[in-house]
Amino acid sequence: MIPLRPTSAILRFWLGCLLALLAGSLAQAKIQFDVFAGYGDAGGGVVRAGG
Amino acid sequence: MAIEVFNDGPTFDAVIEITAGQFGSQTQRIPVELPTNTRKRLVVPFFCASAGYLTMDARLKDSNGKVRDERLGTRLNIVQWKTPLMGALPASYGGMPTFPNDRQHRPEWQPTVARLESEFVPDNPIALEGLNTIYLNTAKALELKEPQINALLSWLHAGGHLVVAVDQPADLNAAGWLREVLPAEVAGGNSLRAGTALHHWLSEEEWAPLYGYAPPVPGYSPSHPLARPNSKVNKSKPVANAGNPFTELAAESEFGAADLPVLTLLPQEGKVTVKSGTVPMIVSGSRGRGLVTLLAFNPEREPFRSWKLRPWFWARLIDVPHALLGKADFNVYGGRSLDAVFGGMVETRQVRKLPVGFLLLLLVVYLVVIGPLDQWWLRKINRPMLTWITFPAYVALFSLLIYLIGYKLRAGQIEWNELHIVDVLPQGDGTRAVLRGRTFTGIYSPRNDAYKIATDLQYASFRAEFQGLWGNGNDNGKVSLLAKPVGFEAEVFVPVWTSQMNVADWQDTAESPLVAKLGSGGHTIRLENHSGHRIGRLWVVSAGGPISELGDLPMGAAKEFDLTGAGATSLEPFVAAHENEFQTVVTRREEIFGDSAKAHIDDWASASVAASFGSLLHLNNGDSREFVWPAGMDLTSLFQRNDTIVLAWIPDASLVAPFNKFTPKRQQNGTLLRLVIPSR
Repeated sequence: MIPLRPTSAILRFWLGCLLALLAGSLAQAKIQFDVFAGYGDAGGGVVRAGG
Repeated sequence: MAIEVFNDGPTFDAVIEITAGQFGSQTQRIPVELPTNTRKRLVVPFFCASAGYLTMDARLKDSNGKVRDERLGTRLNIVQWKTPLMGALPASYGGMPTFPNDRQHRPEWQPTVARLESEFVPDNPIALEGLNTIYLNTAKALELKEPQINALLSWLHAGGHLVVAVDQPADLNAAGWLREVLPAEVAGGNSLRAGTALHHWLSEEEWAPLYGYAPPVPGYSPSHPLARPNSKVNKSKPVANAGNPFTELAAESEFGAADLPVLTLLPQEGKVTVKSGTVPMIVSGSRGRGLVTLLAFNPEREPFRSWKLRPWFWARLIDVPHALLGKADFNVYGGRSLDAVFGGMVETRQVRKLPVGFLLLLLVVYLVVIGPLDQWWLRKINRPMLTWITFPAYVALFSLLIYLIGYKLRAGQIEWNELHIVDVLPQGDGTRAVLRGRTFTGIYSPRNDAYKIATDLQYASFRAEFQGLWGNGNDNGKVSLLAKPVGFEAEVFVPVWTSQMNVADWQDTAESPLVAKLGSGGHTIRLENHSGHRIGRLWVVSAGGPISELGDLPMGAAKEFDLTGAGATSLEPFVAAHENEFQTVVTRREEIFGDSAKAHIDDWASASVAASFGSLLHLNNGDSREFVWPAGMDLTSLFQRNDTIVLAWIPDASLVAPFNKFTPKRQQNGTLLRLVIPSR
């Protein structure tokens, strides 16, 4: 069995960290989607019939 | 409709899909690019065709059509067509204008203020048109971005009423665009006891603000429940001023005695509406078709903020009809869509309707043939079993006959008609102008097919025909709209042998197609035709007076016209003369069977002129058959303001590229230019 060289172990550690970080950020990636219909905000917007 | 999307995941191309209502109404799609870690805000105009209950569904889809997020059933509050609707950008939440809200028990008739967040103020002027008035505090004016400022100014010049309160005079140095439209210069401040003057104005003085987007003025019908006492009415029939809720308001001694900080207003082109002694408190002046009202005091600060009559002040300032502030019940009838009148113009003449009498006769003949006649003659030839052959034969024969009748009455060639009503809103010295167009389109299809309609105009939207307040309020999903950053692409499905009417709303900036200058005294008008086409017919409504038809104006020509000459008639009878025709056409269009006669309007020019004064249309038939139209369509309030209105008809031509992206076999178009010269 060939022992791992220290540089390779460090490389693998950091690579693993990077992958975990990426996976974590992808899992957290979300879309915020807000819709405001009509004029004004709180409690629903107002619109005019026929306008 | 305002949408905000924040994507902190991988970049993708999204499509936002918006549907109004649950009944398969028009779908609008907006493509958006969403790079990682970006927040996008967009505002899209939509037309509210419902008078009762409306919800909106919005879906965020990726390019594969997969729904990434959705907001379903967003409920909207709908106010009636004539209810004043105000947008407000106050400096503080507590400074929001309010209206007396314990009076009106029907929420749709309650005058309403909507608080606009500065980041969601539409950057599309068409999306602002639902608002009659906007209250703007200068502190908030500083937060507006350039596209929003342009949209706001465009809305103002097209007919909006902008009410401005100054928070700090220095705000106006930073908001030069606002200072330029104010009717007065703002100088230093002092403080005075102005409560009594304000109360006096509230309860006693006349104030009738007139601007293009004013709620429709039923002032010509004094018995109308929403008639405003200050509107210009037929003098022989004055509006009953009984039940004026403002006269019942008791003065508040505390406010009357309090010192109110005021700014010194130096009126320029504006008129002083309220003054305390010699100090102007409110100054207003017209800007294009709109109106700017400047307050000398800050209504968000004490002592005004605690004034008990503050809601009444706002109601007075925007001229809320008395009936909406009274506790008595009233009824407003009507609600037919003015779209139908334009539909009567652009609709194909290739389709004729089957008279009901003929249809009933055909039915009776069919029943007689398949029943008694068949039995009688088969019995006569003694072959009753033959009915197995004769009966299907009759059915086939009558089916063929009905197809042939349908073919004879309805078959034709692809047809596309466009009628453009274009408001010319001059900019600067008048050589360039904003063109606000409403294009009424009619498609006739000889087969079941979808037709592409598109434009690259700056701001544009497309909608189905509005069926009126009591119609079904939707288009059954026949229009599919793709909104683009500039212009739109739409697909309209038209069933075989039918025609459909749709409306495109658009705005663009171009060289002014029509330049007008009033001569001294307003007795003459000089008109220059830069439209690139011949103006076939010309009308001028001179300052609140009669309408004169002035002949034509060749391409590139300039001519001076006399406005005092013969041929001028009063505007009211000119418009009223079209009313019966309009009512008949609208009724005929609603009928599936019946008479084809009088179902169309052939004189597009004068009918479009009459339809530009919707508020004058119910002189003959009373209020019960009133028409409904979107903001800006009606010019009556500008006529009442004594503005001069030029209406120029360009036959068989359009100022913009055709909307149809298919080749019709038959085509007709025309353009009515509407130019308003504000009174000084």
